[in-house]
Amino acid sequence: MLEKVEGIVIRTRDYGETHKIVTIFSREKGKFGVMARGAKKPKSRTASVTQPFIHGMYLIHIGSGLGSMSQGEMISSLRGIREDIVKTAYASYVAELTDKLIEEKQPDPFLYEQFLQTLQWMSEGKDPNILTMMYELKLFQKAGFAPVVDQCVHCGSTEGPFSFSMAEGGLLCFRSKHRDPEAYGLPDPLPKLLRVFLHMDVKRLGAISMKEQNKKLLRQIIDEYYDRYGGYFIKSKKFLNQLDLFTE
Amino acid sequence: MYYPEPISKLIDSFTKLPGIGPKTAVRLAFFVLEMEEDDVLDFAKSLVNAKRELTHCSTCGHITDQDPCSICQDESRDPTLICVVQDPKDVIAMEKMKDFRGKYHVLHGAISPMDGIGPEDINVPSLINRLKDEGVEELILATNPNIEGEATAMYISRLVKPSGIRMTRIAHGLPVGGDLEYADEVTLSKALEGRREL
Repeated sequence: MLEKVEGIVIRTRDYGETHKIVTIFSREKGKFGVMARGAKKPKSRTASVTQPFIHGMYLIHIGSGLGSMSQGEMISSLRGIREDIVKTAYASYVAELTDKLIEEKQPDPFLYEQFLQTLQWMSEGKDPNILTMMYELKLFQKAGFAPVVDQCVHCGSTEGPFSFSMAEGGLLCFRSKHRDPEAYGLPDPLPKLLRVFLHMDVKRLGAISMKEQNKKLLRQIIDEYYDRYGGYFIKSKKFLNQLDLFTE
Repeated sequence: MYYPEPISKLIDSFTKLPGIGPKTAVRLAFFVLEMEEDDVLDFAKSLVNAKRELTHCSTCGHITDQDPCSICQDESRDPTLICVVQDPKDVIAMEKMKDFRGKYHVLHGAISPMDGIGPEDINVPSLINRLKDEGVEELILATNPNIEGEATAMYISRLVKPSGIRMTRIAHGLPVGGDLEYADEVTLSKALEGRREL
């Protein structure tokens, strides 16, 4: 039976001379793969709607295995992303991370909304680095390995100053800091920012700015945390790490 | 083992080709058995020669049996105009058009954030050297109109623009013989963006 779903293309892979296998993250069905027959032909009507980061309505047939796409209608092309290489790099990273960390065919409308909003904000020009960190923490929570950022992971204290321990998996208060001598000391706004990033709906994000050094530290902490607990190798991360080649 | 070893090896070799599954491989292998011996020898020779004698042109990166390639050696071509393409197959496609009289540069791939393919993995350094040495005035970026192609075009334009060389991107829009009614929104908006005076 054909079904209409709203979703975003998060991955495409060529199949044969003219077909594509497209992974869509949808509101109604979660993440699933479909075969788009003929999508590589220049005159194909599905050629443009099967490009990465296209937000659209898709008419699909989902079976027990790989489904097939019969039509697609674009809602938004998120053009701002594809026209800027830095945004493309961040969007590729969040899309790949989503693809790796969520289960197939398990809908999660909240995460879908967060993902869509993250891409929309990126397209509109909000800081992609901050947006990526906000979305990553929510995704870690969904995948079951979010860091403890509301209180000290050891004693439950909410009294700072805090440091971030990789080994303990979250914040350590000054009394428990001795448990991990390698914990990163966090400057004042960061523990609060971590809480905000993890719990706040991306839709509510207004103007946000962070000191460059705080942004770098938080990026380093999240990367190291993912390497320790995440497990999957993210190919687009390599590209993201080369971004200084583009911004120089 | 259902087949004698020589034919089973032949089947294995055919399955290494793209789009050839086990059934097709068996059909092709049996077809080879029916072929004249001279034809089979020619076929085998062509395979080996294609692999052994072809190399990449040290100037433009196109596949060639002589270095530099015939396009780079052709003095009737305009050396100040370089068209940058992703694959050698794209050079052939452009040459079929018979309209372009400049030279080419083959990148052998495209920057792909999704696959972690960065600028270091494609043939850009030799392009930069050519721009310095050959007095290039215009660079046409003819990478594919998808995420990877756009990312590559953006990267090269960021890299080259400060040198003052004219950078152009091939037009995107409706295919010849296509139908406006069935065109999608992105293609139409690109086509409208790139409209020109009549």
